[in-house]
Amino acid sequence: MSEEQTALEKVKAFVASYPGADVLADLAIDYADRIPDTAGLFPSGLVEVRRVPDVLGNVTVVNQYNFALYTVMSKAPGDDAGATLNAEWVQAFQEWVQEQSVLGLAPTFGDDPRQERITAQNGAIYSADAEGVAVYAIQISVTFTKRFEKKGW
Amino acid sequence: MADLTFNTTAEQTIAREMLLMCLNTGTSSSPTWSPLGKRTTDSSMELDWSEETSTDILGETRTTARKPIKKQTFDPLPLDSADAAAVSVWNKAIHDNDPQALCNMDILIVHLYAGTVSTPFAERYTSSSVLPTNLGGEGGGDLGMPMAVTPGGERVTGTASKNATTGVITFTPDSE
Repeated sequence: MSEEQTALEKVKAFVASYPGADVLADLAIDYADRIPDTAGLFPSGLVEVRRVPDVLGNVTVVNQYNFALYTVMSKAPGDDAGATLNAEWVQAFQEWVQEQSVLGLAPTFGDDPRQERITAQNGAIYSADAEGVAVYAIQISVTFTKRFEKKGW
Repeated sequence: MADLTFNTTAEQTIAREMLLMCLNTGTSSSPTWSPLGKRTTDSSMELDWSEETSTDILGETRTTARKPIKKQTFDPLPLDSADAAAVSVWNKAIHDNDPQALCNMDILIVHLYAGTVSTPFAERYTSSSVLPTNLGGEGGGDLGMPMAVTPGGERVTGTASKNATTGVITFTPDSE
């Protein structure tokens, strides 16, 4: 990951690097077509979790980027085998994100990589129609730390 | 001697960072003042006045006090290679195990809110103790070395200034 990438580009590239994830290879941003084997990444902005000043006036800020990943898959009504495959894919993706984060293999966003965390959680079916298309939603969160050094005294 | 005035805006409280404690990480004759407390979120200078209060047989209460023993703890103090003060203390405490050095540290306390903005009141203590209380931390967390500082030795008052370009802090005793 190059330093010049934006946070969105980093997350997009990271998600797309999931092995065995052709569905994620060409992620759309803020858009998900109802065509199987496509996906969309929906950023929902930055949340400031905590702001901690030290006695010298420097400030440590803990931030969180949140994203929703929508993956579109085939699932005919009553197709239990297909639904199982999809659900297992969603679970496996979440476990892969966790592993990458714990092992320090995920991209970094702040000033203290050791404190960073990427999670993919609450993966579940979002909608399914009679035409055999199902949409699964996964919440992705990136928690990172920024340091602001006080200028002047 | 007239009272020093505060240089901060009236009717406003004073920011915590206006009280600064620095450790001399240079030499006695050519000090390098390095601020203490990077990433420490709460640290206060405790003042022990050795106060004694008694009531005499006439019912009058009197209190005696001595010049205060000051003590300030920095906890937590996560280690950071860019924190010159912490690196200096680590070397004397952990690497050298040198209690004599740790009890003869050169400390500068700068009261940025008192005196003038460019030359605030400062006090230097050349034989201070700076003693780490532990080295470690929880798994997955930061390696910390909290420490307690007791300013000691001769107290020299004066003013401090900081070079706007280099950031170098200079202490000027009142006698100069």
